[in-house]
Amino acid sequence: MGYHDDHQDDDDDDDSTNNNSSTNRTSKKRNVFSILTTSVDLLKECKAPEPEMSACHLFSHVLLNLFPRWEDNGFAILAKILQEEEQDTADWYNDDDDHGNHVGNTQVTREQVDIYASMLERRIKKEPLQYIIGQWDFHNCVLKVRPPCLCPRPETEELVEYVAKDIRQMIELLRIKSVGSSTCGRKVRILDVGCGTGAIGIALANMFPKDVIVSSMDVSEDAVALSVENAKFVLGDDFTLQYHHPLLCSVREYTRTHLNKEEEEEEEEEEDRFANCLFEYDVVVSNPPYIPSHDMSTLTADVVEYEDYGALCGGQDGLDVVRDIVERLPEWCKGNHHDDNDTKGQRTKRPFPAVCWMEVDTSHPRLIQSLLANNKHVEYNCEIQDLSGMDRFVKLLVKD
Amino acid sequence: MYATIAFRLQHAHSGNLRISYPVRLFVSFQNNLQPVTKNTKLGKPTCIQPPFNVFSNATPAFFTTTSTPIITKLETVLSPSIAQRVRDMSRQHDEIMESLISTASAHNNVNTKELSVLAPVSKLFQEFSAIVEEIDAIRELEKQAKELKDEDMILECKQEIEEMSERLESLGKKMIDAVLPKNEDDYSSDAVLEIRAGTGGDEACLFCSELMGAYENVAKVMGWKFEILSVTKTDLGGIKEAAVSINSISGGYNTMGSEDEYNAPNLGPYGFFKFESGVHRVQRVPVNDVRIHTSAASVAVLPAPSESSSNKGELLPLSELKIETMRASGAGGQHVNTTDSAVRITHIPTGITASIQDERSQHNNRAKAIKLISARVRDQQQAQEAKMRGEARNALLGGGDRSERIRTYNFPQDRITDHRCKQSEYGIGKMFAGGFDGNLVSSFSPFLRDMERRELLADIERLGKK
Repeated sequence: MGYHDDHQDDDDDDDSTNNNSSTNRTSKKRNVFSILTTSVDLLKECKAPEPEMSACHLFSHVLLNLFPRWEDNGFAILAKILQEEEQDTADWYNDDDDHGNHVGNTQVTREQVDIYASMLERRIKKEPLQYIIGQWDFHNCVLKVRPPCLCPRPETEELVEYVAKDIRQMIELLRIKSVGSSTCGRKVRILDVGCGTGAIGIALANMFPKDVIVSSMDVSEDAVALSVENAKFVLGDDFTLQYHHPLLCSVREYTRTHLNKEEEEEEEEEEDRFANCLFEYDVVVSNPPYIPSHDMSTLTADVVEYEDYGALCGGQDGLDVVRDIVERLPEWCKGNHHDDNDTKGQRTKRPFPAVCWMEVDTSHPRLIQSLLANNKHVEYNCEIQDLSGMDRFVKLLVKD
Repeated sequence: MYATIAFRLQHAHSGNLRISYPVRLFVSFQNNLQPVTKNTKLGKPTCIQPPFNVFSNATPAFFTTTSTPIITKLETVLSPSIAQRVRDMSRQHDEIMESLISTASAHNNVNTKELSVLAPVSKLFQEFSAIVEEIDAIRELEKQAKELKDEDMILECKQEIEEMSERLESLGKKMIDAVLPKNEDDYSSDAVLEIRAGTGGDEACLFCSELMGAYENVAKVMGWKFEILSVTKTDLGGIKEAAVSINSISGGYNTMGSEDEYNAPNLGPYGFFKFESGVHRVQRVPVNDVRIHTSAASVAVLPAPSESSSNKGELLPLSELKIETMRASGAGGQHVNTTDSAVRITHIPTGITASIQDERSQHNNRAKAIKLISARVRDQQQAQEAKMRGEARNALLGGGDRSERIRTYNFPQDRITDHRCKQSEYGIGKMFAGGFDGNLVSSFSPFLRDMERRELLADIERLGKK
């Protein structure tokens, strides 16, 4: 393997300028440029996904001396270097003169090469970049990302924007309603179903720090733990003012209606579990597992071998979790709400209908529309395409 | 005989606009119409637009007075073309006001922007006319004093007239400013700067990076946000090309350069930086040589709609944009996990594009791309508008021919020379370092702004003579 050759060089780490008059680009120089280009070749050879971008992301993450901060977006600078290499304008990288501290000619230490090499091995095995690096940008946040939780996708960023638009209107309506009363408008209540990394809920809490209170839930313990970690990471130590501790439960379980009267003991437990939950959400948002099971075999290895199956597959038509949500919506979104600031515990009517936004499979909007055709409580509002032009988002209204 | 009344009408209109609509009537003594003056003992006279159009060049037949009519007095302070423009704009303003009063408020589609441009002109014109009348009145007094041989009185009158004339002069200047066409972008738009290294290889790239640093310092000192949209760095930490956005925060404009009297708004980032457009030429001895090298960097300053300003409607409508991502083919969504989040936006009507790939998240790439394309589209719009107005789009009036060499930076002599206003400043390091006064932009902008005013004035003159 090409890059191992570089190890056989000098043993010391503080590499002074190599005065070999070799003009071969892949020679014994251990500079950023040579390692970068060699590793791209390697990734291509081993059929790793997205060889160029992978190299840039992983390598820049290692080069903390050049790119000390996450926000430096070092990967973009490495990407430009690669582009120049393609256009064959990077002759000066071969000079033996030390041009000082510019990127391509910067020497790379052995440790850095070792770390990079282990990352490359993982990528060759098709592991997602977000898992290897451990965090990624999402909307207006940086989130920790760990297996098996689903890596947030760009479509979900768009979902956040659409929900945010509705939330803005809600905040305004609540403010208007509270004019003249002694209390200020209450916070908008959001429920993030299947929170995963916590992406959606945390992004919304970050956008509207004083105006929303987010509850969330997931069936995975890993997801619950990661969401808490991200809430703290993004929103700060007092995140519970905006973001409640996620519940470990399924959509089906999140209810107070007990159909099974035989198991009275369990009933009481469940009663305890959700005793403090105010089933009066204004916004229910979800990126539920929505891939139809027959599509699961078409997925690429980096998705299907690493990310949680349960976070991806939504049953035969992909709508299992969506159906569960639809069933629960009327109970979750009761219209007569408590005013958080009203100590008398009075209830006032919500000045807008509750909404449910979901990211779904392209095949789903039509199916959901017919699913709701005879539903008295939940109304299909619209579907919206994502930036690639595919049907991706649905909006439902919960009638009081 | 006609009754003699001078009074001031005030209209409260639709609760939002409060118009002070001064009214003035004429006195006719034996067919000799005279403007009501101080001596008529009815309080301070103010001006009204009589039923006939007193602002036309034709003098109504019966308007013969002993004092010189107001019409010609404007020309003592202003050129005929400017004077004409003042009158035209005043009349336009008054016409709009009249129509406001006569039509029901529900049917008004007042063009408040237009009105806000015309109102100062009208106000100044009224002030001007009022002072002219006062001068006339004092001249009368002077005449009487001369007959009575009252020396003290004569002196007093002369002093007053002198004072008044000075005020007329200063009003004249203000009228010129009020009458000049204003580029709205100067006040309400953010700026997008596109900096590119030109000839000179490494040296040019190094200079680009320094130039960008200088602009960042200026933005900082003005209290604006400096955000890099995209950057291509090359060797020695130089910059091959970069796109940068300078935003005013929360609608607050800086407080410098305020012309307070009639609350003229302050310049926004675009208006402030716009004169930087063009080619900056550098003469310097590079690190690894002894001879002087010449290199160049080109800067383009584009107006970008400000998120903080009230005119959010200026943002490009989404229906005109085609947004492309890397996820174009396949199922997308949960099916795929690609981290290539580059975004390219095309403005369909003009074909202008902008693509950004420097951010990890598609959301951030998209935000930056929208900013960039808005600026580019607005810039082209501006060029077309100027073209339609028949104005030569030179580097002075905001980023015309980008290949025009505007400045030379001579490092051995530590001097920067701006070729447009022909000014030279010394101390390149200090100018690059920032500071409120004496930074790279503020060292030259007063001269350039002056030149711009003169050019605009010259335009009006040219149009007036047609």
